[in-house]
Amino acid sequence: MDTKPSPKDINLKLVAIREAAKAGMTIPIILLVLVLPHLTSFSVPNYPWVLLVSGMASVNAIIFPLLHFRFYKKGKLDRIKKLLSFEIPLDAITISLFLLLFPNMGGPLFVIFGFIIIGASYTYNASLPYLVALIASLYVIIEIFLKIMASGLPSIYEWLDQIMRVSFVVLMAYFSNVLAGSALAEKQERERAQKLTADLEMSGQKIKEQLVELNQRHKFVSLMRRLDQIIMNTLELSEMAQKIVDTVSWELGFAGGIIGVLSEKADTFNFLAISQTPEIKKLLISWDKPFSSLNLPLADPHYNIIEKALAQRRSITTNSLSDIFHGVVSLKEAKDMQKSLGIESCLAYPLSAKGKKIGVLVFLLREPYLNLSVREIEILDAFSDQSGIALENALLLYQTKETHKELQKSYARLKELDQMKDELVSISSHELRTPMTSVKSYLWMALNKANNLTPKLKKYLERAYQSSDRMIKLVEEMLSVSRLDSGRLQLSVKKLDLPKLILSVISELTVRAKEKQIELTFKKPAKAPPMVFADEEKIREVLLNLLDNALKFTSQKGKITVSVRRRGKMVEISIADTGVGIAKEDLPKLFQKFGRLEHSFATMAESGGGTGLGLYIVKRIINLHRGKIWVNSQKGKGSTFTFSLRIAEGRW
Amino acid sequence: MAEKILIVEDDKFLSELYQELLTQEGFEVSVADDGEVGLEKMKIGGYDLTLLDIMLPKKDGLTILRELEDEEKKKCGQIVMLTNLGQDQIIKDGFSLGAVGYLIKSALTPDQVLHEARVFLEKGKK
Repeated sequence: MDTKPSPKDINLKLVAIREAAKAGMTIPIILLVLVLPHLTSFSVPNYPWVLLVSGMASVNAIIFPLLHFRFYKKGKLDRIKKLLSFEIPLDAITISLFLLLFPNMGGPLFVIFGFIIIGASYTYNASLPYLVALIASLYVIIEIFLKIMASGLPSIYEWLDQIMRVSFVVLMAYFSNVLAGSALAEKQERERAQKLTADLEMSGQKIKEQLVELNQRHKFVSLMRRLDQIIMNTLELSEMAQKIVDTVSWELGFAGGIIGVLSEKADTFNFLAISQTPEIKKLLISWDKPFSSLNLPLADPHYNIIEKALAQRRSITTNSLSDIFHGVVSLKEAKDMQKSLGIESCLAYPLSAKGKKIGVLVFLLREPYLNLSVREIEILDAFSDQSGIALENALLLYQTKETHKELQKSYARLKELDQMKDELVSISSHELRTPMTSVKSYLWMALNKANNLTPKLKKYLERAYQSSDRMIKLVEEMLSVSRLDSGRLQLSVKKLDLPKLILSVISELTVRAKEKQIELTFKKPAKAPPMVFADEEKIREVLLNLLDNALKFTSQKGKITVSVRRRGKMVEISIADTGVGIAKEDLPKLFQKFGRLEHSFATMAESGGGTGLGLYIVKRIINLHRGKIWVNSQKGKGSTFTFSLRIAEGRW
Repeated sequence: MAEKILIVEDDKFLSELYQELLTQEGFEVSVADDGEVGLEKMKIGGYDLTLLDIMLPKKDGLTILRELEDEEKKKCGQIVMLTNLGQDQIIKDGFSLGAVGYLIKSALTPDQVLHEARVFLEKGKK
């Protein structure tokens, strides 16, 4: 029995007060009914009536409170309520019968007074009973006064009669007042209870709403976490796309999702993935190509919702799946799909990251999109935002990978080409040199061993001989450059005695110098320079090249001087000539590949020309030796080429 | 008595030129057109100077040197490599296989070749 009475139903305290009040009112009435006729001038009523009235009053005063108490104990509040509805008419009947029983009490007028007083108690009017009691008292006083005026002082019984009447009315008014007060309080209590209940209901509703909201928020958060996980754990583009659309079907509970990206040139939309739900899987089997191979060439006007969403940068809705697949699959296929998946509407969301359009995410719904709540739309917004970022990351990686692949391919191709070039140079230089050696040698024979050469013929042969020589040198230099450029040239570095090498090279060139009447000398330093680290053959090549140039560009009776000096950890070798010099604007081009100088063509022709590779090779060789080469020159006043080599100290 | 020179060289024009040049100077010249003939002639020997081309059909110069016994090499006099390429490794290998020198054909005029031949013959006499 722990059903506690609730304030909503009945105020039990008020019921108790009222019952007590009624009992308090009824007992004197019964006493009056039973005793008064013997004490006063009241006419003695019929006893059966007296018994009826007193019985009803007793029921009212004793049985009802007991029942109330019993029901309260048992917790049967609805019974109490019913009981109360019985009591009111019973009260009224009891009073009326009582007043009718004693016409001496004032007759019908007092019946009316009685009703008003009882009625007032049920209309919560607490002051009306007193007013009525006052009127009844006045009425009695006036009656007594009129009686005195008419027949002198009334008898003692008559006084008692009147006092009884007044006191009865006052008593009734008093209890009525108590009743009304308690009823009013009950009413107020009830109203308050009702208001409280309403408030409670309202807050209950609010809590319910908040719970729903919380639930959705939880769903939202877990959804975003799921997306975050996808982003963190997935690098590969198609895998990421698949995971996103699978999340749309599994976590959001939609019929499915479709995702795709813009091509790099933004002229095609490539479908990447569709949710792999059992229904969709089944459906796709009948398609003749994989979903990821679908693409949509973008065009204007936008027949396709995807195009429209991309162009307008906002989400677009449609009721027809064929709007998504327009221009991609047949209308029939789209319609079949829509029907078998039970799709009611589609929402195409453009995806972007850092303000750049990336692709589109389509949600396939089994309900009209108007059914979506504001919260659900918020979720879709956030979901597509997040998907855009995820996809961009994957896309960047994908593009980087693709670029890397391309680069690797190009690199491999370049390497191959480079090798082919080297081989070509190598083979052609060998193959060329053999016949060129024949040509050159026979021309030499013609010039030197044949008799009776006319001066003209001799001139022609000489030119042919020089040209063949130039060609051989060019082939050799090309081979050198090829070796240097491919890094195949290996130095065999040893300690090298520079003056010895210089003297040897000079002696090699003495004949040619004499022919041109050029003074070629080595200015030997007073103190022998230290040994250097160098590859003798390569440095010989450098010296020959530089001296060859000097001879070429120095006119008859000029001077070429080779000198050596130590500077810190290096030894510097200079070759100074009194030749034509180099124009300032030509200096930067000097050591470049094929950097033959525009301004030296005239001298070239005179001196047999060059390949434009010589100084490039020289510079590369010196750099391989970790030395430097530079030039000082003034147009018309000669040039000084200087290169440095490391002193042979410690390790190479 | 005229000194004997063997030329192992596949380029006919060049070998004939060297032959003509050297014969004019009074040497007794023998010629081999490819590696196999060269090897046979060198095995028989009897030369004061052998000009041995490296790039040869059938058998290259370095292989010939590898296949010859030391005794046979002695019978070929001074062995000088004829090359078109100043390739260090090949030249080194040649020296370690008993060659005493090398000539880069394209870099030399005929009389320079003649001069070099004389120098090597002189060296051999010492």
